[in-house]
Amino acid sequence: MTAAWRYAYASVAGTSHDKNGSPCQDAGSCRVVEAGAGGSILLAMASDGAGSARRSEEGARLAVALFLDEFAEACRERGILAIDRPFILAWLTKLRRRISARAARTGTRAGDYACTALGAVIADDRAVFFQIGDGAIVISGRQHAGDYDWVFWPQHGEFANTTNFVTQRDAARALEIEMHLGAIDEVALFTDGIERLVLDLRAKTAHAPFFRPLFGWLAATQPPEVSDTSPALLQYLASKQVCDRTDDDKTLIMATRRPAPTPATAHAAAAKSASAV
Amino acid sequence: MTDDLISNDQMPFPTPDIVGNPEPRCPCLLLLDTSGSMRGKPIAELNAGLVAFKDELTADAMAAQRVEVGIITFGPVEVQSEFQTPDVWMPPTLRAGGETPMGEAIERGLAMLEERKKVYKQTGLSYYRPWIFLITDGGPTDDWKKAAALIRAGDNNEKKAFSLFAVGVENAKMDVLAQIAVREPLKLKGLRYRDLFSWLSSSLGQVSRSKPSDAVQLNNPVTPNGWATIE
Repeated sequence: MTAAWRYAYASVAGTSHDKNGSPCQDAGSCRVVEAGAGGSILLAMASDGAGSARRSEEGARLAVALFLDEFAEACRERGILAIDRPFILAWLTKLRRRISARAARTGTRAGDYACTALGAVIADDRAVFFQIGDGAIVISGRQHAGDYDWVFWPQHGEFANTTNFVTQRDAARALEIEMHLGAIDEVALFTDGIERLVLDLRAKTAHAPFFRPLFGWLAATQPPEVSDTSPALLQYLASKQVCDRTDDDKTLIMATRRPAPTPATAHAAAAKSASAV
Repeated sequence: MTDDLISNDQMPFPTPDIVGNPEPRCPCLLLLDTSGSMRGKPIAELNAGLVAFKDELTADAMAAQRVEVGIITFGPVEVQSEFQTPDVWMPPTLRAGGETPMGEAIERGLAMLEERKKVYKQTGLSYYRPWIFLITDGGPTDDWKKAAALIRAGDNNEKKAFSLFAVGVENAKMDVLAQIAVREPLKLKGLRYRDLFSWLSSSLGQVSRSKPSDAVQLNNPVTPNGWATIE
């Protein structure tokens, strides 16, 4: 009982960036492609440019653009089975080469483009996820309906302010990949900026009362005609509720193919989220 | 505020619940010389510096929630404060007297730090690279070789277990400090403890705000207006 993919995404500069005038160093995008052999495949990527790296917003945009180009082409031609470990590693290598070439051309260093990468490729009955760095990908719970599971826990080193980037020498070693068999109807990708708001770090769980109402809202929207930032999500990420708790850049990408909730179930979902507050 | 959000035809944008996660911690261990030579004005200035340290940390909203102060004094070695956030930490009134068992104080301090990290890990608290400030007006009167080896083993670019800064006051044996600390020891100008702790407070505030890979740009204390010199 699946419907077409509806998705929404937005990246918002942190309030600390507003103060010192630096740009939003996050990037993220989402799109649905039709596989040649039939069926649609959802592609989503979020990337967080490192705060201290001078051109990290360019790195993040490069990562997202190259992901959409390469993965969309492969999925159209060969379906999701084209997306295996060697394919993802080849994408990473190509991204690193592009970054090195741009660095050489502009007299900068590859490290100036340091960014994370969180990718999701979801077909009808299987999915591929991968990640380098912090932030996380959350999917509808495999055990209980209404719960949410994270795919990879954010990669933080021993300390709160360390993580991995696509530009580091051993990026391929930091790359985590998960192949998932079975249908996935809901997925969210987000960068480090809202990690502490939507993951319970003590219980090591995804915070369902955050995701449940947002997915309910998203299911009631229409599939976007063109891939573009969602004004509603943008406004939410820039809201006081969020900015009081994080001064960092934040990106949130959400997609669902659950049927739109009926008025009765929507009401129940709203009541449930209200009681959780 | 979120009630005003754009709503689509079917359903208004909801206000989701967000998690009240504990703040990450930024531990700061002070190893303070309270030997006999600190009697009089030096110990009074050090105590005043600690009071100012608490005030400044508490005034910084982020540091107040994230920094944890622990204090061990030597002369003799004594734990004055277990790691606590500035809102609950009470600056002790230190008294001077006794020898300068610096080696023992360092070993005890590193053990206390390891214990604290264990608690962080058990309770799922994330944390920043700890800072240790070693402040002395003399030289060790005990065996410090083992302590120096422990510092070298932890304060390096691979292990990054902590960062240790040594500060010498007045007649401190700077040459011995240079053998104990990995970084070049700093010399406090006169008895400017208050300036030192003011700098430490604002530096910890910066660290506690830092994001992954942020290179924290600390103010150089070795300037004409700073509190330190390098000998």
